[in-house]
Amino acid sequence: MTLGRNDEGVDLHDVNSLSGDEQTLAGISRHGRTRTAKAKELLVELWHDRAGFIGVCFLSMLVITAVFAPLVAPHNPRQQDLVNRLQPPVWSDGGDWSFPLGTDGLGRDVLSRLIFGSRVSIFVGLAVLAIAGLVGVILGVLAGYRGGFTDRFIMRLVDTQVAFPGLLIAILLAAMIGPSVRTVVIVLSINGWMIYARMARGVVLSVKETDYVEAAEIIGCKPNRVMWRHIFPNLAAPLTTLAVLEFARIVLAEAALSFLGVGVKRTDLSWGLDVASGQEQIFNSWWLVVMPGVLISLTVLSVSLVASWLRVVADPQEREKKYGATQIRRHIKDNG
Amino acid sequence: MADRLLEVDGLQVRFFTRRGVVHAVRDVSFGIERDETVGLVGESGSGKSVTSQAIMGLVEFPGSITAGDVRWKGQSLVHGPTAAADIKRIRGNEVSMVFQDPMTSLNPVFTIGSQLTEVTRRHLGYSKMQARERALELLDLVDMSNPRQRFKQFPGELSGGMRQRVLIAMALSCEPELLIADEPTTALDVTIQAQILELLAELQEDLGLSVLLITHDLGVVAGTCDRVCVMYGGRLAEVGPIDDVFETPTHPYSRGLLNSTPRIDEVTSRLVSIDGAPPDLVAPPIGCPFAARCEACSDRCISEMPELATIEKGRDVACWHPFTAS
Amino acid sequence: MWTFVIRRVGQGLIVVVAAAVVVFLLTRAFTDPVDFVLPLEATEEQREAREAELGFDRPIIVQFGDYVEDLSRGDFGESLWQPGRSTIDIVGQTLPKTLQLVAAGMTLAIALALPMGMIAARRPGGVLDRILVTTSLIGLSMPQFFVGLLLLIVFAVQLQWLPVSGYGGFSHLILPALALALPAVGRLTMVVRSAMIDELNSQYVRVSKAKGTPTRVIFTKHAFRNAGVQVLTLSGWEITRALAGFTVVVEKVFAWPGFGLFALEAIQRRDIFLLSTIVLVAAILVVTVNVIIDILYKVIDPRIELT
Repeated sequence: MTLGRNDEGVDLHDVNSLSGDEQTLAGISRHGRTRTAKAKELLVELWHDRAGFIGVCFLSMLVITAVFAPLVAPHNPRQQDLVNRLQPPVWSDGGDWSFPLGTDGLGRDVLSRLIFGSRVSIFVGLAVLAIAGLVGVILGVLAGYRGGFTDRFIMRLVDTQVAFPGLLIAILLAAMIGPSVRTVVIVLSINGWMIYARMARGVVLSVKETDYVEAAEIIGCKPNRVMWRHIFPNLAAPLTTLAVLEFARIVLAEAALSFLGVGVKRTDLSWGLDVASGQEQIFNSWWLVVMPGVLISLTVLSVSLVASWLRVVADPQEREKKYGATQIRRHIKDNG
Repeated sequence: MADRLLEVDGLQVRFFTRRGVVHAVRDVSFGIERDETVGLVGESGSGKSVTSQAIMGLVEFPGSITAGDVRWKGQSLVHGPTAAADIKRIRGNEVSMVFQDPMTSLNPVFTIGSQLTEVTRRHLGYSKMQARERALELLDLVDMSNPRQRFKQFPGELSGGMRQRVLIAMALSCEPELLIADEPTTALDVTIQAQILELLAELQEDLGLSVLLITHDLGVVAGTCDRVCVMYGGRLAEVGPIDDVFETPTHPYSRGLLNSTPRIDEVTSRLVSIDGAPPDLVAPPIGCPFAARCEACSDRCISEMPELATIEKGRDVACWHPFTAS
Repeated sequence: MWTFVIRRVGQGLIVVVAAAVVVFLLTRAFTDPVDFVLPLEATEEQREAREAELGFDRPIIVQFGDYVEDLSRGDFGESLWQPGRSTIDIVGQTLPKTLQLVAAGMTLAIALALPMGMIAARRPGGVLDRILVTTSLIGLSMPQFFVGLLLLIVFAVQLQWLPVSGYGGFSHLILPALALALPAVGRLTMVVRSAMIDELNSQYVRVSKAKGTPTRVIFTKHAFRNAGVQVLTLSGWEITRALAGFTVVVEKVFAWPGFGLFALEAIQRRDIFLLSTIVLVAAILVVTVNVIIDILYKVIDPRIELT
C-alpha cells in the first residue's frame, strides 16, 4: 500500500514539476495564484470531510489552550485546596462552576491540570517527531542512496530493533535514566526512528528507478542532483501522513509511560500521571480517571481523523471513490 | 430470432467520476445468434470492454447501467425482480468470460485444480472426483501438457500463455453457450497470441460455441469472426458481415481503421494513421463522435447525431456520408 | 522448508543475543547502575560499598565477560528484592500468568476483529461500515490503561459483576483480557477491512464473479486467504506488542501478577537484575512469536520464496 502511494506521489510530482517550469516562463504571479487556489481547494475538501474538519478544529483548540495555558486555566494547576477536595464535575450533584471538571484528592482543579498537561503531550510529541523523524529519514535516505554495505547495515539494524520488545526496553531505559520529560523524549525517539528509515529508503529506491532520473542520466545530467531534487518532494506526502500517525502513537506512549511511573517526573503535569493518581480514588471519584482518559482519547482520535483526511487528499484514487459515491446516489435519487 | 442468444438493446453505461459523468457506452444495440462469432472492435476507450462487463453484470463502481437492456434468450438481465439472481446463475454457466490479463486473473494462493473444480462443483453439482476428471479433461482440451501436474501447481508457476489456457479451460468448464473473450491475447507474446486464437477458433467449431470477441486488432477479427461491430466514442459506428466490412467499409472510421492495419494481401507503401484523438466522453459531442477526425465531415455531422441505419441487408452504419460500394 | 526454519531460528537467536548485549549496555555502561540500586540520598561511602558488593566497580569488559558466562550457564542472577531467589525463578512463576492473559486477550481480539473487518468490507461506505469504522477508530484511540480503568469502573465498581483486581479464576481474567483486547480489536478491524477491500478490487475476484462464484465464497475463501497474509502480520505484531509492553499496563491496572507487574515492582524495589531478566525473557518471547509467524506465512502463501 505504501509503495503504491509512493509511486503515485512520484507521478504527481512529475506532472507538477513540468507545469512548474511552464509557470516560471509565464511569470511568477501565475504560480502564486495556483498555489492559493490549491490551498483553497484543500480547505473546501476539509470542510466536506466532516470528521477531518472536526479533528483539525479540536487539535487547533488544544494547541491554542496549551500555548495560552496560564491565561485560559481557571486555577493554578498545582494549588491545593483541601476544603474543596474531590469536588465532582459541574453537571454532577454537588458540582459547581468554580471547578468545572471537579477537583482531585488534594483539591487541585482538574480542568487546569488538563490544560497544562496538554503542554507535555504536545511537546513530547513534537520533540520525538523531530528527533526520530530526522534520524530515521537521514538513515533511510542514506541506506537507499548508498546501497550496498551501508544499506544492509542500516536495514539490519532496523530489523533487529523492530524485533525488540520496544516498550519494555523503553521502560528499562526510562527506569535507569530516571523519570523526566527529557527521558521520555529520548526513550521514545530511540523507539520510533525505524519506521521513518524504512519509508525514506522505499521512496529513494522508487525515485531511483523513475524515468526522469534515468532520462537525466542518459542526457548526461548528474543523476545525484536530479535525485536530491526529487527525493524530498516525494518524501513530503508520505512523511506528513506518517508523522501525524506517529504523533498519535507518541501521545499514547507518553501517557502509558507516565501512568506506569517511568515517564515524566511525579511533580510534572501530565495526563498519564493524572490518571495514575486518580486510580487511587476510583471507587468514589470516577472523574479523576475519566477526564484525562477522555481527553487523551479525543486527542488521539482527532489526530487519526486528520491522518485519514490527509491520506484521502494525497491519494487521487480515494478522492475519485468518494466523489463517485455521492454522484451515483444523486443519480439514483433523480431517476427514482 | 428464435436462435438469438444474446440481445443488447439501447445499452447506456455511465461512470460518475470527479471530472464529470463519463458516457462510456451510449445507445448500443446488437445481437448474437447461436454458433456465431461476433467481433467487437474499437480503440481503447471506445466502450467495448465496458459493454462486455455490462453483459456480464460486472460494471464496477462508480459505473452503472443507466438505460437499455441486456437480454439472454429473451430474458432481461438488467430489469425485473429475478434479474440479479438470473445473472448469477447464468454467469460462468451459460455465459462465461475470458479476461485480458491472465497474470492477475487467477487467485495466487490456490492451485489451478482447486480453481478449476470450483466452477463445475458449483454450477453442475459435481463431486470432488467428477470435478477433478472434468478439470483434467479441460486442461487436455486446451492443449496443456501434463494436466495431472498442472492440476497441482500454483498460478505463479505457469507462464502467461499457460495461464490464459487455464482461464479458457475454466470458462469452458460448464459447456457455456456464449464465450465472451475480452482482449484475450493483448497481454501475450505474438507467437502465443496466434496459438490462443487458433485454440479459440477450434473450440468454437468443436463445441458449437457462440463467441463475442473483443479486441482492438482488426487482424484478429478477420481471421475468426462472422460478423463485426465497430465501436467508436461509446457508440456503434458500423455493423456487418466480416467480409463485407473488410471489402467495402462504409463508415469513415472503419476505413481509417482498416488503412491503419497492416495486410499481407495488399502491397501498400505505408500505413495510414487516423489523425486526432478520440472524443472526450465526459462531454461527448452532440453530433457524430468521429466528426472531429473525419475527412468527410459536414456541418450536419457536427450538429446532429447519425443513428444506426440499415444500408443493405445485415449492414448498418451510423454516418451521414457513408462510403458506398460504387 | 527445513533450511528456511533453521535460518529463521538462527536469525532469531542473533536478535536474542543482541537483546542481551543491549540490556547489559543499558544497565551497566550507558547508565550508572548504582544510581538505580540506591536511593538519591545515599552517601558516597554507601555507594562505593554497594558498588564493590555488586561488582560494578570492575572494568566494564570484565563485567561483560562474567555476564556472558553466567547467561550461558543459564544463570540470570540473584534478585536484590528477594535475596536468595534467582531472578529466573521469579520470572518462571509470573510468566505463565502473563501468557494466560495475552493468550486470552489476543484470542478475543482476533475473534472479534476478523468478522468485524469482513462485515465492514462488504459494503465500504455503507451504514454498517461507517459504524464499525467509527467504533474501531474510537477503540484504537483509547489508551490501554483508560480502557482498563473504564471497564473497572463500570463492571467492577458500579455494577459489581466482576472482581476489581488480582489473580484468580475465570472471573478475574475477563476484565484484563478485555482491556488488552479492545484497542487491538480497533487496529485489527481496520487492517482486516482495508486488506479485504484491496483484495475484492483485484482482477482475480472479477474473474471469480464472472465464473459465477457466489459472493459469500469469494469473500470467505478467495479474498480472505489473500488478505490473511496481512492480517497474520498484524496479529503477530499485536501479540508481540502485547507481550512487550501492553501487558505491563493492563497488569498494573488490574494488579494481575504477571511479569509486567513484577517489572514495575522491580523498579520500585531497585532490583536491577530482576528487571534485566524480565526484559530479556520478553525479548526471547517476542523473537519466538516472530519466528512462528514467519513460518506460518509459508503455509498460508505459496508466493513467498523460501530464502
